[in-house]
Amino acid sequence: MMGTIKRMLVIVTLCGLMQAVESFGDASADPRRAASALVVGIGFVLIASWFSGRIFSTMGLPKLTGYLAMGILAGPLLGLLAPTTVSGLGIVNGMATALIALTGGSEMDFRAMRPLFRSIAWITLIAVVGTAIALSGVAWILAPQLAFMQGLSPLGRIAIAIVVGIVTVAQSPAVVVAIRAETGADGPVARTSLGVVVLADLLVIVLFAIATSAADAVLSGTSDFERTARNMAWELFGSLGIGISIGAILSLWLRFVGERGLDLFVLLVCFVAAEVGRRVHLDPLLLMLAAGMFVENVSRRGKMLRRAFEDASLPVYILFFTVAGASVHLRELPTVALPAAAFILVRGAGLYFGTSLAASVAGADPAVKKFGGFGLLPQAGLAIALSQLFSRTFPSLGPSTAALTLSIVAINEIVAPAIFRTALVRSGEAVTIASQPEVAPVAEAEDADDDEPTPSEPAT
Amino acid sequence: MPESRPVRSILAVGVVSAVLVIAGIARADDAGADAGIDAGLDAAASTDAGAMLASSTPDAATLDAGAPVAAASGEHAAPTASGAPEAPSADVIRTLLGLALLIVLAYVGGHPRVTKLEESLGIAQVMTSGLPYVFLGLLAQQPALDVLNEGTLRSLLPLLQFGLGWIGFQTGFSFEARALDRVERGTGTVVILLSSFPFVAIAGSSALFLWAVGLGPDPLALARDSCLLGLAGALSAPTLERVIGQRMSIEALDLARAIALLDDVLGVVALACLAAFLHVSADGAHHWQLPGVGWIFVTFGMAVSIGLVVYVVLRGTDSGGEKTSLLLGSVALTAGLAGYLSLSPLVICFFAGILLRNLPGDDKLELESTFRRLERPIYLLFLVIVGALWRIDDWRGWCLLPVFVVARFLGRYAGARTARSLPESERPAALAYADDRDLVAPPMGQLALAFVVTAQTLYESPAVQAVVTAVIGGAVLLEVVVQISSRRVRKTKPKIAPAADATTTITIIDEDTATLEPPTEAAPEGEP
Repeated sequence: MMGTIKRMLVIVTLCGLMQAVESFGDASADPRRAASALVVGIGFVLIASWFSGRIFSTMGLPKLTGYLAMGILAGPLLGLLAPTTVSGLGIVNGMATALIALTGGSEMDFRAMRPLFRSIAWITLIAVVGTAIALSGVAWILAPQLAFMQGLSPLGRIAIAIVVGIVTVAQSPAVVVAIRAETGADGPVARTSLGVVVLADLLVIVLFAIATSAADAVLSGTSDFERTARNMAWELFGSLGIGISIGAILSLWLRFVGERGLDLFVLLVCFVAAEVGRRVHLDPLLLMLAAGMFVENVSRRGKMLRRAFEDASLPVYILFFTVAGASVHLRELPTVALPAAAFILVRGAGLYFGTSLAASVAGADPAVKKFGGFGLLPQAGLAIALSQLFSRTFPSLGPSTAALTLSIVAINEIVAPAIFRTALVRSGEAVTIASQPEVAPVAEAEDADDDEPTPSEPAT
Repeated sequence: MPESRPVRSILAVGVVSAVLVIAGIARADDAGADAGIDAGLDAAASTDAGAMLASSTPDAATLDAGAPVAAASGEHAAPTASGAPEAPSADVIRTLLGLALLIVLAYVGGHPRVTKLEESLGIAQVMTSGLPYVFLGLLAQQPALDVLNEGTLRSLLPLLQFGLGWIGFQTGFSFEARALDRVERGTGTVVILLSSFPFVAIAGSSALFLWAVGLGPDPLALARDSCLLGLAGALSAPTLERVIGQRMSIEALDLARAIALLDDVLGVVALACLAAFLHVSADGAHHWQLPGVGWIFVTFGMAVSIGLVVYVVLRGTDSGGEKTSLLLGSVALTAGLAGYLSLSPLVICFFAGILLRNLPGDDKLELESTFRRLERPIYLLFLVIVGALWRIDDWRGWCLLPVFVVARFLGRYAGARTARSLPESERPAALAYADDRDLVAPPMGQLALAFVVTAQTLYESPAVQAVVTAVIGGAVLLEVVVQISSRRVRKTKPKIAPAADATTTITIIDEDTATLEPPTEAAPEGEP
């Protein structure tokens, strides 16, 4: 309790300092003060969000929810982070997205996933794809209530509705891994959940790339199928090919240099891959996902890779999630509250009942049928990254795109981990439920996972 | 083997992708001058985001369907981080690759093996001051390369402030008050003499020079520039022993080290006073208008309060990642707050670092290790930017250089002679063991460079570039002199054998007086 009070006091003190800084007026006019504002902003975010994450952690919520909450508090609510500062901090977005993808890819151990593949495949197909279709339908039905759908042609509405459906269905391997580490859960529910969310990650990324390509073609009025297909091929196969090359480079580093300096090297690779890839129209998510898969499945050094950049990635994640929170357009929230509620309900129902159905079809363990769907509910890094990519890819649709998708993610982030945790307890797979909850973002979660077998691995 | 199937699948996808990539590039090349890869990259040339393959068609100017994730410009343009219009992609990519290359070089420069090589070659002074990286930055800003152009440098200004803060924080963190108990009586007087004489000599002569060449139309700015130059020249590098330690007695080495440490503190205090009394308030009705003493109070008050906040923040962290994150955040917060008030980030961070070091706590070693781990990459990257900001075509800077070096030499010589003429009871006994050469021409360290960069971040002056040239050039010249001098001495004099009573090796000295030496060189094996 005293620790929480101390952390809150630190946050209040830092907010006071930021308020004092803000009292000096708008910094954007003077380049030197604008630079100072950005440096102060980075410092404030790294410290205050870290403390916020710790507070949320003691409440049994993911730390990244704390980072998001601090972003919302310091950005749109209190105005401590000016919009120019927030946009300046956004330079880490690409790097963080690439890091998340690299981590996700390095978790995909195909060999370990094989025994559960039938269940995983059916759940992915029925629950994830089915729910994405259902959410697209919801988006299409609610189009008159969604500001960003106004003025679009019927075809454009369908295209954007499909993109929204894919963005909002995304899951979070990071949270699943973290909850499993926290509860010590090991069994069919935990393993299948992780297997599905990891596989769904790849599927969602690919579907997102295809859907945005098609939507872009529809919105821009071009109907050159050949060119669209070529662009998609470039984006998908080009990203995968170059991603594999990056994976090979990382593997060579791991083999010949080891972990020394790997953290900086990975950050550098992610930064370059994200920024250069974005500009030559490669998907940074696919790029680094392929790199991670290569490292895990070919060089078998995925855990070594994750462990190596864990320390260096924490500041990046803190900045990324806080910026995501600070970028939420609160003014838009009232207008998207009802649609967001509808999306959340449909998503929850779709994933839960879809998992039950798929588990029956695949002949999975009864526990998976009953509890497996809860593991698909949490959302975190990938969903936020996709939300931001969605908003950045279609800036003409306005800020309400991110407002809708991020509000869905935010609510799922806060509520879903607790639900999944309860499900693991009820299924009897959780063993250390009395321990201090320590749900952390990707990098932190990986560490806990390193000490024990991957959930998707067969029981030994 | 069944396990190899996924591997084969991945490789197959990789091969297909590589073929597609190559085919796409080949098609782009075939499509003519406007349709090459460059044209595809140069999104500014078309309204389209310029998906690489799309530009292979003749009508590349039409809006394209591609780039689903990354429409970089055109109708579906993604805004840049700063909200400014996107720069042409080819330029941006070149800049990014250039920056990536520089980061790699900074990493290589910080590698323990490189450090060891420097030591074995006896070029530690030059390399630890990082001057090659300054030259690298200078190279990167040349129009032929155009990696660090004006626009890029503007966006990297925050990094400069952060770098200054980092240097200040780390230098301050290396200062342990208890170490002063071991400093011999009279050392303070020697430090004051060795610092104040060159300060006066450099400030006076450079003020005259700057006024004569028309770089001092404003008396206040002239005073500020010349004082800053004087302060930079008054400092000596804390790593003197690396070059000449083998031929010095332990007493002389201790004295040299104490002088280097104390003149750092003296220099930073003087810089704080300079920034306070000649404070440049930013424009704006909300900005405080305070007298110099007021700014002094603000400076030290801010350093103390931020230092306390940082002290609280850094306590109780569990992992290395958390400590790294919070340390980066603490330095950024402190440097940014200082910059916001047009105060020197170096000064505020320096005193906050001293406070952090000297408050109770058992995590100092961990913090020091984190500092060491990040120090050289950050510092070398900082120096690259310094080099990029350096304008060597200003002839007045090159003319100021000999004035600066000669004035420093004469000032330190006068200071050394005055110190030697002090009554025996008022000067340290170790002074008798120190050569005049070592007292008169010590090399300049990173703090001297940081001082002049502070000027660049705090205010604009026509003389700033000349000051930068003089200090960087002076640092190079002095290091070359020290190198030549120490090599000659090594050849003519037999190396002093380590002995327990009078002399010792560097290693033993390091262990005995670890708190006196800033941890600039002692990166542990395996850490960058």
